[in-house]
Order: sequence, then C-alpha cells, then structure tokens
Amino acid sequence: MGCAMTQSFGWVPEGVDVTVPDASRVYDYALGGVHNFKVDREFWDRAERVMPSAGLIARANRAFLGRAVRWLVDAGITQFLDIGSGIPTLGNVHEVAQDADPAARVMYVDIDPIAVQQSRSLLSGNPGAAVIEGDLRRPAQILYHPEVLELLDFSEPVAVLTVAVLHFIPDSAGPASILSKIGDALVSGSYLVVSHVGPDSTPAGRQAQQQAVKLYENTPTPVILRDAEEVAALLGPAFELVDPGVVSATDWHPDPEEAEDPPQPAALVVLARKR
Amino acid sequence: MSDRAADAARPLSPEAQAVARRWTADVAAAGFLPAGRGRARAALEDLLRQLLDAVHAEPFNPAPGYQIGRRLVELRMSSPAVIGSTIALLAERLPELAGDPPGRRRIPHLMAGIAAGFSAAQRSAAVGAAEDMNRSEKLHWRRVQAGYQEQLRHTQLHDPQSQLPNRAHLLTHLTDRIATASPDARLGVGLLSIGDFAELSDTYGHDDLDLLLAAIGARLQQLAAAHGCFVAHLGDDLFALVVATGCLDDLAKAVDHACHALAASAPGACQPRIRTVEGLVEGPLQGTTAQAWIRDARCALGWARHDRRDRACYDPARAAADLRRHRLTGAMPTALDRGDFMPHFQPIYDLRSRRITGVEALARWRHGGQVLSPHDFIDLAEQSGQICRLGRSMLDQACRQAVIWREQGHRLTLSVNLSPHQLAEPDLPATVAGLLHDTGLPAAALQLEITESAAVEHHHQVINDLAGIGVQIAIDDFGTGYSNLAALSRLPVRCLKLDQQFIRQAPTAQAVTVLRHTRLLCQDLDIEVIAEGIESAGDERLLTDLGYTRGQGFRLARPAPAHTVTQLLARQAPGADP
Repeated sequence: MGCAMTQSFGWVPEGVDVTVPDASRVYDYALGGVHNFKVDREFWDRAERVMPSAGLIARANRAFLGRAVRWLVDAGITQFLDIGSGIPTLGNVHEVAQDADPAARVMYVDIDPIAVQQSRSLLSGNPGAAVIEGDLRRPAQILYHPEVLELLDFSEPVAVLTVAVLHFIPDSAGPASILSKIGDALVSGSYLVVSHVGPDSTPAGRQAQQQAVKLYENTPTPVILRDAEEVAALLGPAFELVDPGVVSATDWHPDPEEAEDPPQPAALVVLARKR
Repeated sequence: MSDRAADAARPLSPEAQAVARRWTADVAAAGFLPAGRGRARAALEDLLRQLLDAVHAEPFNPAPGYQIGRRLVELRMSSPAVIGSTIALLAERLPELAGDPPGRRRIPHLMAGIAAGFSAAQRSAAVGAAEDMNRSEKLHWRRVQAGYQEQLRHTQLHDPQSQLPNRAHLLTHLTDRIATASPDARLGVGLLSIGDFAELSDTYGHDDLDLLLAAIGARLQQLAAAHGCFVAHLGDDLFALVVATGCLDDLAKAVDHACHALAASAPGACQPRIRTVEGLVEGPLQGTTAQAWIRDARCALGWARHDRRDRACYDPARAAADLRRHRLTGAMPTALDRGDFMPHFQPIYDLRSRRITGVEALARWRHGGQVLSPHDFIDLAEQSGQICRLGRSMLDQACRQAVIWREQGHRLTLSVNLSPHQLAEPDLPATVAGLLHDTGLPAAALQLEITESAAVEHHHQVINDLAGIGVQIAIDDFGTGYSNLAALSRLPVRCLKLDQQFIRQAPTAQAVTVLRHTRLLCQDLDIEVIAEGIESAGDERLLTDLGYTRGQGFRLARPAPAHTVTQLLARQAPGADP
C-alpha cells in the first residue's frame, strides 16, 4: 500500500488496505449502502459497465434473503447462522427475523475483521444477535466457537445462511465438504440457505458476465460460476431441496408486489432441509 | 410500526393510491428496498398522505416537506435516483391531487423541503457511516494491538523453551498472593533443580534439550492444573512450585509430585533419568515479600547441594549463621588492611617450676565491638583464600612481640600455627626466613605448629625446608589424627602438642596408659611433649605424676593480649628463662 494512498484517507487507521476492493464493501455499495471506500465504488461501477444487470442481481439476491428469512420464521425457525454476512447495513437478517419473531437469535460470521467490528457496534444492545470472525472454509471453528454455542442451541433446528458467499469458494477448497460438515452439526429439521452466481441465460449475458468475473479475478475473492445442477450437487445427501428447488432468486416465492421485476437467472438460490 | 398505524387511519383516494404505486415503482427501480416492495408502498402512501395534509393545512407550514425528505433516507430509499424520480413524479402529479390554486402554490415550497431534507439526511448518513467505519476500524486495530500486547506480555512473563511462567511472573504471582492473603494463610515454595544439568545437556544436545524443557513445561502445567499450584521456570535447570499449605508436609507432597513429573518427562526409554535437588520453604504468608520467598527457597536449595542431599528445608537459624559468615567473609579483607587482626598469647609453662617457657600466638579479630576467636573466622579465611595473608600477618606481629619480650630478658619459644594452605605456598620458607631477618627473632625461638594430617600426608619438602632454616616444627593437636609416631619420626619434628582430649578422657586406666607411653616414646625419640588443655589441679597433678614437664591450659593461663602476658612475665620470680 502506497503511503500517498494512505494519506488520502486521513481518517483511515494505518494498516487497513483501502487500495483493493473488498467483496463485502462492494456488495454494500451495490445495494446502496455507504460503508465502502472509493476503490470499492470504482470497482462496482466498472462491473456494472461491463454487466449492467449486476445491480439488479445483487438486489434480487438480497431481496431473496429477506423473503427466505421470513419464510423460515414462518416455518418455525428462530435460530440463524449467517456465514459471510458482510457489512450489516441494508436488509439485516436480524432485523427481518426479529421483526417476524422478537425471540429470534442471529449469529453473524464474517472473515473480514473490520466488517465484524462494524457488526459488533451495530448489534450492541441486541442480546439476540452477535457476530464472530470466522472463515467458511473452516466450518468447525465456526460451529464450535464458544460464542456461537452460547447463542445458538444446536439441539434445536438452526437455519444456516450461505448467501452470496459460496461462489467465492473454489472447488479446490471443497465447498461440498464444507456444507457436509455444516450439515453434520445440524439436527433434522434444520435448514440451509444458499445463493450463488450462475451463468446468465443468454450468450450476450454470459459474455458480459465473463468480463465481470475477470474483474473479480483481480481481487482477493475471485468468483466461480456454478449452474443449478452444480449448486444442487454441493448440498449433498444430508439435505433435501425444498420447493421450488434451485431457481432464480426472482422465482423463489416471489413477492406479488415485485412480480413485474425482470427475472435474474444468474442469481441462483435454493433452500434445503436437513434430513 | 407508526407508518402502518397511520396507514390504517385514513384511506387515500384512488388517484393518490395510483401516485403512490408509481412512486414505489420508481423508487424500486432506483435502488434496493430492504423491507420489500409491499412495505415500501405502504410507507410511501403514508408520506403522500402527510404531503397532502401539508398542502391543505391552515396556516401553511412547509416543515413536513423537510421531514418527508429525511424519512425517505430513513426508509433506506436513499440512492440519488430516488430524489430525482420523487421530485419529477410529485411535480407532475401533486398539483392535480392538491386541487385548488392556493394549495398548488404551496407545492414548490414543500418540494424544496423534500429535497433539502433528503440531502441533509443523506449527508448525515454518509458522514455517520464514515464515522462508524472509522470507529470500527479503530476498535479493530485496538483489538489487534491488545492482542500484540498480550503476546508481548506472555513473552515477557514466560520462558521461551518451557512456556512456563518465568521469574518475573513468579514474583508478580507471589506479590499478588501476599497482598490478598488472609491472616492465617500459609504458603510453600519449592525450588527444583535438575541435577547434572550440564551432563544432561550434553546427552540430549541443544535441540533435544529444548524439547525436554518443553516436555517438562507441559507436565508441570498439568500438575499445576491438577493440584491447584503455580509452577514457574527460572531458567536452565531451575523450576519453582508455589502452593497454599497448612504445614510443611503439604509442600513436601506437592514437590514429590513435581519431582515425579520431572522424572517422567525424559522422552525415550533409554534416556537418563532426571534427578532433582530441592529447596523448600514454608510458612505464614502475611507480612512477607516475594523476593524473600525466592531467596529463602534458593538458600535451602544451596544447603541441599552443599550437604549432598536431595532436599533441604529452610531453617532461619542456619540462615542467620550463614548470613553472619558471609558478612564476616566480606569484611575480612578490609579488616586485614586496617590491622583488626592481632595475636593473643597463651603462656606455655614448665609444670615443675611454674615458669613461662613459651607462648602460643592465637589470632583474634576485633569486629563490631567484639573480639572473635579463630573458630569464628579461620574456616572462612581458608574458604575465601585469605588464610595465607592472615597467617603472614599473625606471624609478623607475633615475631615482633617475641623480640620485645626477648629484649626484656624473656627468652620464650614462640609457637605460631600454620594452616595447610600456608604450607602449600612454595615460598613459605623464604617468607619465614625474611620475617625472622626483619624482626631479628632467632630461628630457634620460633616453633611452627602444623596439624598431624598435613604433616603426614603432604608438604614434607616444605617442612624439611623450614627445619632447615632452624625453625622448630611442632605437631599440633596430636592424637586427633593417625597418631602415627613412626611416620612422624621421618620428619624433623621437635615437639608434639598433645591434644586436650587425652586429658579429658583421663582418669580412665586406658587413657592414663596412653599418656604414659606417649611420653616415654617421645622421650626415646627425643621429641618434646606439651600437654594442652590443662583446666584443673587434677589435670596438672596427673600430668606431672606421669612425668610431663610442659603444658598449657586455662588452669595455668588463658590466651591474653601481649601486655597481659608481659605483666605475667614481670611477676615471675627472677630466674633464667629457658
């Protein structure tokens, strides 16, 4: 990191790398949030130029998260483990869950210590929500973390959310194995929520998408596209798909108010139940 | 929640509802709606209702416009496109909803308020976010720094090899315990030293020794956890154990456990067994200091090593004696410089005539208002290597005094003790010769007393050389060693000083027989005998009955300063001294 760049962000403490776009800050900006740096905004603006639908995909994905959480609360779930929660600004899981059931408990997990600290300050005073620093690639360290075990009761069903995070896990890191280990820790009746970037449905869309993927290759978190079949395969035998299975975010129990929104086939989502 | 309550209060006209739907669609197109489209429409319907109320309110108040602008941002409808589409929509559709011309004239004021409120809230949100990020990052780095500080603190307070608390940590631990101790609390501190550590180090090699220390650290940590004690590693071979006790036995048991843990730490079946030496201290906790506990345990460990035992317990009386010895040792060089050592003289008598025929010079030390005897300092002088200097000083002072007496007409034999250390000095004969020359004392008037063991086992050459310059050689404390007269006959010995134990054992028949035959044997060998330790009239009578002619002891005269002996000599009836 250049000294001049550090000085240009006078209020940024030394050591925070603001010269590289960060996935969670980019996503925050994509949703209209303000917890981001110039490098994140410039990165997203470039991504939107090569793939104009990127913003709508992000919003569709986030809207799905809100609907999925409400669906889960309606199904009786009161415990949520949100892995890869990012910057907790717009559409927080705990806001949605606790609005539907004030007794709902939410544990956020993110790999970025700054995002964790921001979450911590946001959640102060909320006994039903907490955050820890953790890496999805090391699920045991999350599942057996003392704070996680204190907030969540794994003898009861838990909904594990891996929303817009598995497409940052390459095959070499064993995403199916990670989900399998998570599944081992859950009792029957628990749920797994996945959203994942998939290939666009049109050649032009896919071409634009490839350009955006190339942009991500220059960040610490390159994106891996997986189609519906591949996403379903990640879940393994421990989970059974809940209707409608692996679908576009806009097709997953759509809000009647949003019926006219354009479909987003590249935003794949699925909700699965632990057998 | 207040939005929904207001929503339910008063329905909008179908025209206004259509405007709200359009507004919702525009806002949704402009950005993400976290709460969903339905809630967004309800919220916007409520804002539209407030706007229409403001249009018709009497008197007119433009403030609600500002609040509506702020509310849009609060509802997370905060992207720049939201305010653009909102202004465009309301400018187009609000006039027809407002109805009459006075209401329409108010619309621009309300719109200005919406724009200003939106901008102000947007700015607050952005600045607030920046502050929030700044705070979060500062907090994060504070945690990182705290982590580093904890690491640093751990490093400062733990031994790098064993990972056990180090000396500084032990001191802090003891200080804390002392500060919080109840009046009757007791404590035990054990210091465990690995015996033959240097050899162990050679056996294992450097890297393996580190592994061994790590294994010891792990085992002692387990012990500490299991028995509720505190363990520390004070470097290399030294470990400490701190435990709350009721009595010394409690500490001894805890140390036993630690010794077993240490012994079992050696990796591999063929490795040498780890042996420990232990120093223990146990007692009340209140009013003590951390340094004192470690000092006392170290003292006990020193005793165990010195006494060649596995374990020693701290004893205040022994420690006080040690301290006194250390202080005396430290004070000795300066005392020698200052001349605080001087000879006293014990007269040696002719038992028949009761005349003084000689004197034995005995060292005295004026120290701290007391006069110390040889048994207080001779061992210390030998251990600290100052005995030769002390011996030379005594010899010099005694010779000069003997010359004074000779000048007064008293031809006394001067006896001076020589330490085996002095005998080991190759230049001793030359030194003695030089002193005799300097003082003017005839060589034959000087009798050097050496111990039997020193004479028999070593230093034959030096003894012969001393005899060669004319000095008389006496065997001191005869009877406490081999009492090997045959061996002594090969040496130029002129005199035996019979140890007082012979007198003490009398009057048993065997002792009397030994006394009689010793005198007869010495007479045949032409060796003079001086009986030491004559303390009573009975002692003196027995010796004279057995034919002894010379002796010394408290019965006759105690050791005294030179001027006292001078007075004794002056009181003697005039007559020729031997």
